[in-house]
Formats: sequence, structure tokens, C-alpha cells
Amino acid sequence: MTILEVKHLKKVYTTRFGGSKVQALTDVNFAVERGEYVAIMGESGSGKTTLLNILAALDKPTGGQVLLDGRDIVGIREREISSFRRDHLGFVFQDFNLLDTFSIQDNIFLPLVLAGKRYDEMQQRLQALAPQLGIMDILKKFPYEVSGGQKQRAAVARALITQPDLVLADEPTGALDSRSSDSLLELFQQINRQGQTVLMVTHSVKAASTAQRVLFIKDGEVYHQLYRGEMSSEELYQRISEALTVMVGAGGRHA
Amino acid sequence: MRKGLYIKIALQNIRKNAKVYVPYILTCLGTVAMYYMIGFLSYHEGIDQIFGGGYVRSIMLMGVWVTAIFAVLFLFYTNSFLMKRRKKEFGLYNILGMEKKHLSRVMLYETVVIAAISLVGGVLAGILLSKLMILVLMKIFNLNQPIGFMVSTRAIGSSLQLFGVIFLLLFLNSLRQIHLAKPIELLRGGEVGEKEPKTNWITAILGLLCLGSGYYISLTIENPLMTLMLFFVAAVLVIMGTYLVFISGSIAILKLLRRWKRFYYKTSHFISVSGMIYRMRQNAAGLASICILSTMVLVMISSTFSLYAGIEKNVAQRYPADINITLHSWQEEDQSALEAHMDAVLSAQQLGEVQMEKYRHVGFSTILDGNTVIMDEETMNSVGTLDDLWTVDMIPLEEHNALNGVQETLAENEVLLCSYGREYPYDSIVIDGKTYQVQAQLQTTKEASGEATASAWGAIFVIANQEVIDQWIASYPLLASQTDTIFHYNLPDASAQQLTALEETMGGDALLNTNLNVSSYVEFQESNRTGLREMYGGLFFLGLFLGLLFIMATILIIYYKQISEGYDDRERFEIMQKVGLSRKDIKHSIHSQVLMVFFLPLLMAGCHLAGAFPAIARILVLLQAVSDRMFFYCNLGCFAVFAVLYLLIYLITAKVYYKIVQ
Repeated sequence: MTILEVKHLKKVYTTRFGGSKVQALTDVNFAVERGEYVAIMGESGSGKTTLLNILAALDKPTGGQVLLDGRDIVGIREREISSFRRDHLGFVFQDFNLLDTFSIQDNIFLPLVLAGKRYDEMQQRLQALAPQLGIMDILKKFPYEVSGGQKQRAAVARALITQPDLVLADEPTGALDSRSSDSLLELFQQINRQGQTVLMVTHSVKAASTAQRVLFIKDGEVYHQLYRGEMSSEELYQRISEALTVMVGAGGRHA
Repeated sequence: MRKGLYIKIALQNIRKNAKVYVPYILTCLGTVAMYYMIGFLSYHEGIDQIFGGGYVRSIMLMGVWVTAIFAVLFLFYTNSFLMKRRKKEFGLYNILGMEKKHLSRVMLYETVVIAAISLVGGVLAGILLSKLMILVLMKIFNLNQPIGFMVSTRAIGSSLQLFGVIFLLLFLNSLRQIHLAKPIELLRGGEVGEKEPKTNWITAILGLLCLGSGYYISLTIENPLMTLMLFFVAAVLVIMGTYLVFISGSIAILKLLRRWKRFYYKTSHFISVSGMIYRMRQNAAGLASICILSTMVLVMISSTFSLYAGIEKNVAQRYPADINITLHSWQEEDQSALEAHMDAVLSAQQLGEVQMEKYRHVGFSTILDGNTVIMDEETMNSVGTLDDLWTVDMIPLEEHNALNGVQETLAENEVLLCSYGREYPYDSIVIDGKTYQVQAQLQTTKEASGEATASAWGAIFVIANQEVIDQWIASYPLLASQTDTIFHYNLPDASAQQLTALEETMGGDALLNTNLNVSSYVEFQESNRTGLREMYGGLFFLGLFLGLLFIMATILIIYYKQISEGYDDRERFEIMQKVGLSRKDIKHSIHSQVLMVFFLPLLMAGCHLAGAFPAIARILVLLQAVSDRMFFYCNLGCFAVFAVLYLLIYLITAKVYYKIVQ
């Protein structure tokens, strides 16, 4: 069953004084099935972040459609967009985006509090989630008191606690050392095995090689994709590297 | 060439950081201008010629000191804020290859530029505005005469010296900061020290105790003299208490709220409580300072204004007639001798119509034990405290009737009574072992004026039959030496100058150049009015002046707070939006939170003002100034004006804040 469908997505940025135009996304098409773990790869400036922002309903596309569970998120009214984001999407960011004013536990509770959930229920959901993420003993601490890896786990917990349709991860290993990265990626695979749909944007081959499917974006279009199939992560890693080499070697249409 | 580069960088820094630098330069400039003006009023000899006497200049000298101390503290405070914001920039320069000595040079040029603008601009502004100051002061003094343009070189010199030293110190301080810091620390600058504060119950409770005892002193001590002695103690306690309560008390309370799950985990509370804990740790001292400054402004302006506004009433109470003469005698022949002498003096001066009234009374200060007037010294020393001290003034009924134009009669065991300054709660009074019924308590009577009402304690005026008073005097020889006759001379046609001239002629003694063997003294309303106006008018002006200075400081502290909070909140704003809080909600919650934090000091200042009210009211009574009610309205008015001003400041600075956040 398709959970996310992106059709002919286009985004043009106009500089503030209406001068030159920059085409960030030309024509992006892809679909994500429920329970899939998809990585989107591309160089800096390929339009990855723009794509993610549109998927997150933080930005509006110039043209095209984004269907989440059959509903066009482009058409959602401004008033409902926050609650839509809260109920259907979970986010994991490169720089964690935890609030310094809250303890880890309260950071995780934030979306639930915003949704008006009762404290008991929040506590229940957290108790179910925390052991798996290995954050039981840092719940009372503040973000500045824990390591980067722990912060990112907390951020994952915050993304998962609303039981979203889709978890969007933007360069989640970008600020982590290799050991923390490995264990975070392991975590993503684990939650994916439990049925969580994950869409990750990255330019780390290592990170992408943990996904089931890898999409390559170049110059605002989906250039290529790879399915894991029966491959191991090492094999997939190899294939991704080759694909990247080809992609870079081939040059763009504008080159 | 290279030197030019540093100057360029320095100027560029100032321009680029305009949002923080412009207010800083304006503050420096404003402080210099204020200092010049108060220095001008204190140092320029021309001031004496306009306002007479030495009062004004010596009162202003007090202001010079306060302003100087304030300038040092205040400029250091604002400068530290600037440095904190700019550490990142220094770190960047450092990493880009500028050595610390180059950075120091940039700092030097920056300081020189700012100092030059502030000193030149400040002194010029001060010179221009000092004319306005004189006009305000003349308005307060009710003077109306053309004045020229005056410049005090001494005040200029003093301003340049003081602020030159301050800027030098500021420069040295920033050097110290640059040299102590490592580049990576400089780069992080604004972000260090973000730890959540620990709840310190001991200091929180200590703070509450300080506040409580300060309030207790003000609210419970009834005796004005005691109040005066303990007022300073109370003020220090309240200041300490305010700081402690803001710093740890607020955090303790907020943390308690956070522990209350069902309250805390609601959208609006969740964000505001955590936000306030976060703000409190950064801002507690600043907020406490705003609170203290506001309270000082309010107390200063309302009490000096009360004093000033009360001058007429005060003068009319203490010196009811143009000329007030006290003759230490009840003898007819002494009275007529004095009258004859006065007639001669007044007619020689040709002052037009003369109105005269006189009455006899006998008055003394003693202890009232309940409703019993203690009349012998031994008992007086053994019972009672300062609180039981009263002035007891006795007036024969016939004198009262004649003076007030009434026809009262009293039975043998009856008296009329009028209290002043304090309520007399009994309906009888025991004098010389006999109980007298109070036939009526008079609201006011002409005898309740003059020196008898000038004491720091309450007074009762007892009107009784002549024979009764004679008995009291017979029983207590002490009283016999206190028998006075009061003469009120009113000269409706005489001008103020004529009265002043007359006072000089009479030299303070009504019986000067007569050979009568009784003493007397003369008090003129006009000269006392002038004296009070100089003193209270000067104080009122100083109150306004320092109030203005403190308000300026409050504005700046608030402004910088808004800016720094804006930068902090920008990030949080973005994150919360990503997590699913709508723009409107965020704006709403941050707005209400900032509002709460900013109006907390105002609220507390209002509390302090209310707490200080009884104490100050009593001290004002001691200064024979004003009624409680009048002072109350002054307070209310000042607070209302201040609150409006505060709100305006808030709204204006909130705009800057939203610009940063969005």
C-alpha cells in the first residue's frame, strides 16, 4: 500500500527582489510504500533539503502534488498544517533540534503535549519506547548534559512517540561520530522492521546502505534508484558508491 | 595604511551591530548629558543668583554624586551585555588570523570613537538642555525672570574627566575579556553557561525573610522617629530580599509548578513555565534591578512631589499668619506693651491694613497613659514609650470662643478637644487626677496650628474653662513657665518684599528695643515659605532628574533584554514550529511569557511602593509635610504614569523583538 506519493514536484525560488530564479526541483516523482525504509541521496545543492521541507509541509511547492495516505498535503490550510504535521509526521534533524529549556523527557513529550494528550498516556507511550532506544537513564537530564548520540536518540523518540505515518530524517548522522552513527542506523533498521515507514535524506553512503531502497537526486530530478533486494549492507554500499561515481562522472544536463 | 584598516574595521563593527550599538551610544551620550546638567546646576554660580540661597546648589551636589556612581555601574552593565553579544565576532576574527593585540587595537578605536561621540554629543546636548532644566527648576520655584545662556566650564571638565575614566576602564575590561578567552570560547560566546539553575531553598527562604522583615518594619512601626531610624535598614532588607527572591525564589516556585504534572503538561503552561525557568536564570538579576530602580523612581518622585505640593498647606499650618509672634507671658500689660510696640513698627513701615488676633495657651509635651495625662516628670519617665508621647495644649474657653467666633459653654467637668496628627480615641480625659468628659471632638480649630503642630508626634488641644486651667497650673508649677500668648498679624496689603524687609528690621524679636522683661519670638510666613520652596523644590527637581535617569536605565535594560531574548527565541521558535506548534500559538505563548516576565518587576515595584507607603507617610509627617491621603494620591498618580510609560517601553521594544524572531 502506498503511503507517500510525489508527483511532478517542482520548486522555483525567486530572489527577494524578483531578479534571478533558481530551479531547486524540476520534476520529482516517486512513491513510498507503507513499511518501507527509503534513503534519498544527492550532492549538496541537488534539491534534497527543498524536497524534505516540502514533504514536511514546511514549504510550498511551485507545482505538483504530495499525497500522504492519499491526501494532498499541498492543499492543507495554514491553520491545520501544524496539527497535521504533529499527527502524521515525525522528524529527526541533523542538529537534533532539542529545546534547551526542556529535559529530555519533556522534549519527547512536546508533540504530545501540543496534541493535548493526558500525562498518563504520554508516560505509557514513553515507557514502551524508551528501553528500545536506550534512553531510560537520561530522561531526567537536559540536552546540554548528554552526548550527541543520546540527543539524537531522544530526537528519534520524539519523532516516534506520536506514532506517525512517516518519519522524515534529515541527515540524521551528520553530527555524530561513527560509533553513534552506527548505532543510530541500527536503530532505524530496527524500528523499520517493526513496521515504521522511514524516509531519510543523506549524503552518507554508509547511512544510505542501511535502507531498503535508495533514490538518487540530481539537478532537481530523481536520477536513479537502487533496491536492496537480497543484498547485504556491504553489497549495497558497493552499489551505491558505483552509482555515485557514475552520477558524478556523467555530469549534469547543464554541464 | 594598516592603521586605516583597523579604524575601518572598528567603524564597520559599530555600524554592523547598530541594533545593539546605537542604544549603547545613546545611553552613553544621555548619561554624559545628564551628568553635565546636574553638574552645571551644582557648579555654576549663576544658579545662586536665580534661586537665591545655597540650598539649590548643595542639593544638586548630592545629585552629582548619585549620577556619577550610577553612571559607572550602568555603563559597565550595558557594556558587559555588548561584550557578550560580540564574543563570537571576536572569535571569528581571531580564527581568521587576527592576533589578540590586533583585536585590542580594533577595540581601542571602537572605544575612542564611541567615547568621542558620547562626550562631545553628550556635553553639547547637556549645554543645550541645561537651559530647559533651569526653566523647569524656575517653574518649580514659581520664578519668572529672563535668564541668559550659561555654560559651566567646571561641569564640562568634570564630565570629561569622569567619563574619560569610565571609558578607559571599559576599554581595559574588554581587553581583559579578550585576553582571557580562548578563540573557541570566544566563538561560542553567547552559548556558554546555559545550565539550569539548582533550586536553592535556603536563599529563597532567606529572600522571603528579608522581604518580610523589611515590610514588617514599614507596616508595624508607628512612631515616625523610629521609622526614620529603621527606614534605611528596611530599604536594604527589601533590596536584598528582592534580589534573592528573583534569583532563587522564582526558580523554586517555577520548579514546583513543573513538578505538578497535571498543570505543567498543558500546551500553554508547558511552554511558558519552562521558558520562564530558562529566562529566570539569565534575567533574575536584571529583573530585580528593574524592580529596584522602578521602586526608587516611584518612591523618589512621589515623596518629593508630596513634599513640594504640600508646601502651601505646610506653611499655612505651621505659620498661620503673615507674622506669628509668641510671647512667653499671659500678663495683660505684657500683651499690650507688645501690641503697642508692633503698632509703632508697622505704622512706621506704612504697610496698609493690619489684622490682628491673639490667644493664650499653655502647652507641653508629655506621656498619655491611656486617657490620663501624666504631669509629673517622675511618672513620665517610668511609664510609656515613644509611642505614648503627645503634645498637650490647653486653651481657655473664652480665648477659643473669641478666636473662632463661637459661643461654646462648658460644665465644670467638661472639655472640648481637638486632635492633630493622630487620633485621640477616648471620650474623656484625666488631668490632675480628675476625669473630664469630652463634650465634643472638634474637627479643626484655629488654635490647632503653629508650633504645637510641628512635633513628630500627635497633639491634642484641650479647651477648658479658665478656672479649670488655672487649677492645673496651680497643681503643676512646670506649666506656669509654659504660658504663652500667640499673636497673629496679617497684612493683606503688604508685598512679599515689604514683609522680607520688615523681618530684617525686627530681627526675630518682637520686643526688640523695648524694655519689657519677657521673651518672645517672631516667625514670618513669607521667609519660611521661600525656605521650604528652595529645599523641597530642589528635592523635587532632583527626584524628577534622578527619576528620569533611572527610567532611562530601565528602558535600556528592557531593550537589551528583548534583543537577547529575541536571539534566543529565534531558534526555539523554529524548532517548535517543526515539531508541530502553529505560528500563531508560538507567537502567543512567547508573547504572554515575555509579558509576564516584564510585568513581574512592575508588579513587585507596586508591592514595594505599597509596603513602603506607611513608613514614608510617617516620615513625611515628621517633616511636617503632607496628609496621608495626599501622599497616597501622589503614589497612585506616579505609579499610573510609570505603568503607562513602562507599557510604552515594552510595546516599542517588543517590536524589535518580533523583528528578530521573524
